[in-house]
Amino acid sequence: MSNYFISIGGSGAKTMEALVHLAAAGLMPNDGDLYTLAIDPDVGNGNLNRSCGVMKKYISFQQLHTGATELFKTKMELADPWRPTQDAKQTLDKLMDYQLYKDTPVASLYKALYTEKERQTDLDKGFRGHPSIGSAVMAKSIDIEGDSFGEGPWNSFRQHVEAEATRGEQVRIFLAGSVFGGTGAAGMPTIAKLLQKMFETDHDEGKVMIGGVLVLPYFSFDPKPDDIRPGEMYASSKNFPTNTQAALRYYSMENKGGALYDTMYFVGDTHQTAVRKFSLGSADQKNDAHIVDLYAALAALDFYGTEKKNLRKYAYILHEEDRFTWPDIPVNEEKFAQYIRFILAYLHIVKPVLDLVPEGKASDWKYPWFRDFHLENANCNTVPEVRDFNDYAEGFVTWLLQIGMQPARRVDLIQPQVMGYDEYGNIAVNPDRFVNFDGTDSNVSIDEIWWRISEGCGYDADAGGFGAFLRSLYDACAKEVK
Amino acid sequence: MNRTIRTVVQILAITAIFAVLGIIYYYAGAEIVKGSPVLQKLRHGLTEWKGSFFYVALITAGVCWLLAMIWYVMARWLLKIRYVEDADKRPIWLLFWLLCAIASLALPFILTNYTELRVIQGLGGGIYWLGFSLFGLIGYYFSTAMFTPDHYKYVPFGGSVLHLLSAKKGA
Repeated sequence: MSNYFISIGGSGAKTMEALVHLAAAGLMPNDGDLYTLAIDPDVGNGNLNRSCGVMKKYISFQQLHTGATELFKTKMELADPWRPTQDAKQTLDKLMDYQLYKDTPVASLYKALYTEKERQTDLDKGFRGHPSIGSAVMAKSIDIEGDSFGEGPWNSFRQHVEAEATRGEQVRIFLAGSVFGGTGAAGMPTIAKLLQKMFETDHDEGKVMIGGVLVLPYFSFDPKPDDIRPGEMYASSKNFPTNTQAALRYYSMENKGGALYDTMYFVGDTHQTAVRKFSLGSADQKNDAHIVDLYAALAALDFYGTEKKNLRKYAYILHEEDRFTWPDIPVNEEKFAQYIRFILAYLHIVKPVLDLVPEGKASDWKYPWFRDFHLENANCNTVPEVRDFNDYAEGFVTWLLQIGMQPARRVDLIQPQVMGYDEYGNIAVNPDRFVNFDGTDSNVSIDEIWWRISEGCGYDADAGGFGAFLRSLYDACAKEVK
Repeated sequence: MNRTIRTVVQILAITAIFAVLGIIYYYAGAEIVKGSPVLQKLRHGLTEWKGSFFYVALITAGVCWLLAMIWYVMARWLLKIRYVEDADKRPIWLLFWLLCAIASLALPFILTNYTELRVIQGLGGGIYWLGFSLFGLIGYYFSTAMFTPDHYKYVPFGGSVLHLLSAKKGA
């Protein structure tokens, strides 16, 4: 079995980031590989950059020899992001060859459907909350009716899926995007249709399944006058409810009989979290992680792990309380908690040592695990996988902190004051709170983990180098050591 | 081997090291004194000498064993690691070693009577004091270097070479 994930727009990218973290924790429900493709006209988008960065780091961990473990078990591949607008300074007029049809009835219809501002705005920062632009651009860029599906990542994607379906493996393709913005709202139905056509026979035979999570509104923003140049087109969160209503009506009509998706998930929030800094797009558009991202990624896990006969057409979960606790997260709780413990322990006791000892700034006799695992070569300044893991671990904790800081929701997965930032902005872990960080009884303290890795916990003859150490640390973070 | 069993084995091993060193020193000391003029000067029989020597050796060994055990108990149960900085416990280990050295030199002096002290001079006296001091220092060093609990196992100098009963090593 193989799993495919297509992120569409900023919400899709944030879902992808959450999915990488869940996969890293070994929570993918099957042993299949995960092939990912990101779609965004704004490829410099901060959310997309962050997600792709996390994904690339994860991919680099696959070079680590961790032996037989759930840690990083899912093999991932990331295709180059696909940009529906090939030219950075593309406008809708240019894309539609408006000049060629200028004096024809088609042009009149086109002008009736799109305002001048919509037609002439540069699309380098996405579709600016206008799905009508996005739909037109995507339909134009991908020839749904024809045999050409464009080049680059799509060709590669198609070859992958077809090869696997031919081998008789079941292929599951999952799409994630919002229904209320520009790119996701435009792309979710368009790409689903494309996939239906692309793999028509295999889909009919049940070899290819298509699922999707539609992210409903969960944030709002209120741009200040300085944020926008006069006359500039921008996404407005005031339009989200009407966009959503129209989109849902469309899906209810269009998806009858699974015409678009074999199964659909809807995730949103009745409370609209205010975005800290408004951005039109590009690198500035870096929104904090949200519990909705986590649930959207959990929807992907559900899709990958559910037998076809058990999949529902629509999955609808209502959470009425303003508080989220572990039982609200439908994954192996202890496995996820072990992974969080592993990352926190790494940042608290390992990273400081790797920062100092290989540089000769501290003696290694204090750290038995450092000697036993021959970490003298694990210099975070020169060894890419160590540097990547440091960055990943810090990014993961930041993500976790953001998930926990919902203004209108209590997310009680991590107890208060377990982690935070010190006065220099570095991640700080409170060792006194660490032992019961997930609110459950445990004896896994920092001291206990130190002891376990000093004992060589999790030894695996197939593991080696830095990977063997990470494996040991991961195993040492389990509640019960095997 | 689980941690509890390893702890029991390590404590027994520490005790055994002192016992073996004590036996070696006791018999070696008896052999040395047998042909020396010390017994004539003291007008002691060998058996009487052995009795008093055994008493001094037992007390000295006991004190050094106790210091080694205090280090072990502290490392095993009391010295918790909360931050990376907490791993630096060599000063404590050295302090106990120093106490061992002091005890090894001072205890025989305190426990040996004045008449004996007067005659225990020259080469025989040197061996006597050296033996006692080394006996405690060596006992403490080897027992802690080989059997310190795993999370401080390399705190004693040479621990990485001597540490025994360590679990599986890494890659």
